[in-house]
Amino acid sequence: MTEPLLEVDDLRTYFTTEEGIVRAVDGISFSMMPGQRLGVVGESGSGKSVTALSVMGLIEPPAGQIVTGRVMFQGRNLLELDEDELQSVRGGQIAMIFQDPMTALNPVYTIGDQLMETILLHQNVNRSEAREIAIQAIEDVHIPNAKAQMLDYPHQYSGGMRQRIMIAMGLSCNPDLLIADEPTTALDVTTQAQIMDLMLELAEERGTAVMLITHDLGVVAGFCNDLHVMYAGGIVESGTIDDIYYNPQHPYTWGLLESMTRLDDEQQHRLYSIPGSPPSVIDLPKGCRFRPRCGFATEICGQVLPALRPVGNMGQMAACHHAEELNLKALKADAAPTVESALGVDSDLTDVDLDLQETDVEGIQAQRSAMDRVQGEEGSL
Amino acid sequence: MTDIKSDPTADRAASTDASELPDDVILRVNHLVKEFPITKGVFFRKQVGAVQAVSDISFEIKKGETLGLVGESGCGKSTTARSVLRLLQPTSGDVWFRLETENEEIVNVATAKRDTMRQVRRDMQIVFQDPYASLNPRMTVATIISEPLTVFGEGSKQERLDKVKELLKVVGLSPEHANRYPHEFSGGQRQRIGVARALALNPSFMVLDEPVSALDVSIQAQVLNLMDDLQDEFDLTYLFIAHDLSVVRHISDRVAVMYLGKMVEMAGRDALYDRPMHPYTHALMSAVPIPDPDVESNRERVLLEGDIPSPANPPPGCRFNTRCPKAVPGKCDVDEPEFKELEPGHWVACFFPEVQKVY
Repeated sequence: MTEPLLEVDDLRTYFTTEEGIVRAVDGISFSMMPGQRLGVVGESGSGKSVTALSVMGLIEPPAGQIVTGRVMFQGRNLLELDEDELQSVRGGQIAMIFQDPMTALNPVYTIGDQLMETILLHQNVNRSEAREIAIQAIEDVHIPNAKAQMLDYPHQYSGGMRQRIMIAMGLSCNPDLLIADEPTTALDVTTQAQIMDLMLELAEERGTAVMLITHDLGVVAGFCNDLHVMYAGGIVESGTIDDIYYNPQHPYTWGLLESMTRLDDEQQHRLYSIPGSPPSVIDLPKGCRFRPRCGFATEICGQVLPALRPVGNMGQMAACHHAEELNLKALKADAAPTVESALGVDSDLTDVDLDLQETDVEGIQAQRSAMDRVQGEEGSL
Repeated sequence: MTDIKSDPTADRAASTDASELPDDVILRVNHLVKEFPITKGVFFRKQVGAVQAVSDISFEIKKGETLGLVGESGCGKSTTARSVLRLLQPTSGDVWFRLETENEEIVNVATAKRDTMRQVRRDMQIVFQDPYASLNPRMTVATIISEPLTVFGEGSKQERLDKVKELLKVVGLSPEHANRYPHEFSGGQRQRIGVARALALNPSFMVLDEPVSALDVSIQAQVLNLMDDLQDEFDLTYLFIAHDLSVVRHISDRVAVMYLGKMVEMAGRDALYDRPMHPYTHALMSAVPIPDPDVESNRERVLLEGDIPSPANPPPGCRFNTRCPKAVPGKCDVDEPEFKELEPGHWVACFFPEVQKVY
């Protein structure tokens, strides 16, 4: 068996804010194999972007702190590297593409200068060789007339073209891992199809592993082999895309899939909707973080945070106390139990009340002690 | 196939006699054009050209139906909506609208006088895309929702507050939230506040401008269901603008596709999705990812080359010809295709229309 390319172990990234500690990523572990295309799906605030930034060493102290965890990449713990060593990994072996290609490109430098900067930094070449590599990189992303484009500025390009340049820049040093953080969210759907097609072609051709961070389960279905579903700072389900789409084990994953509108859906039925909204990562509910929105919740769900454990198909994992009993695969959306029936609360409650009743004294105390801990560590640095 | 007409409103457009609006139609847009001037110079702003954001569009919306308007950024869908509401003054064209008054007076929104517009504003409302930008952070929820009532001098202070509480319940919030500020709510809840505000004056027609695209997936379904319920409950007619074709399929009765300021195809929901005829509709639909790995791996994508041309300088002939896989030189880049009814209720602007499966 080949060695994993990336191994993340119990990563916790917290941010200190005026309102309290934001537990953006709270104890996630996973690994990626060379050439694997992994999707990380979650809603805003689920911690998917912070996971990527933590791996890249882009969390800025003192506001953000990686409290615990290891990020092993090719035998080295990235969290223990100094800035110079990190610099050589970033952009060299691990590259990143951001959501908004306009803010990620410098408006006062030409496309060519920006591409060459990366190449000169990471590869042992002179300027004219770097120029050749940059031109090749632009050609690789199917932008015609590459030589002339080297002299253009980012504002002369459309969103799709800019994202192509970002991909060219990311892949110019042949990284082993490409992290793409919502690369097509700012783009139109026909442009999105072009960009995803290009990324798939280049990743397959070069055997680059890709971590695709997105909120769009549709994009993942056409691009990734495997998928992690994140919720409120933790991974709630992981597996191959077939496992997760056709045999979801976690009620949140199931709810997400059921609540999506589909282009090929011929019936105009009522959509299933997950009640309430995601919890604040400052004030997480006790026990399972999905409990306030889950129709299957029982007493234990309010007490013990479920661990990610093998369930369902081979290699599939879910963090749910009741995964085995639920048989979500066969569950129809209109037969799903409501949160009210699970919690035994008054059915007049609106979504908002469900959100608001989560403030418990113990939670606040736990949060305070965590805050003290982080601040204490800060002081000792 | 029925006889071919060249304009969805052609048989009636010649006459500007408003009384000819069929009883079941609430809104008819006739040859709507909206241009934005391009100016040069700082002091003497000389007009050097114009961007035709919406270029000769006609359509009707029946009472109680939802018309979905889709297209990519810059295609003119939001400009169309804003011109219909006269938040933008149309450059030319008519927008006939049936008021909810006793005798169901029909007015031309594009040219209506101040008094009439005031009446129109009661009946036409809009829900905006960004629930963070469209609510004033310094106002309480009660003030936000009751503002339309205050503007129209409806009821006493107490009556307005009662109405606010009722509206909050209708949109699935709790009446106790009336005294809170927008920042205390999540995106989905804010969108509900925006919907409550739009409902305050009992409108008959609502423009929903990308109402769910800023929301998380799990929240989108809640808001879409809410819009569905409200439509039934209050007999609303929707113009639903979105770039997400799967959301549009879910909510609409009929769907119109726009490209570069023109309508390229319009049909009933199932006709459009099952039997799309315009090459742009094919490309647009085949680009929409479907959350199903098997379906995705067996799909053939129609990938378009290049980007949307600038609306300031649209290509001659069919506006899609520069990116169209079926374009015939000498025809498509010279003549402009007419918007024709090829099947009952199915309108297409293409010289070579052809049904194609997209999923």
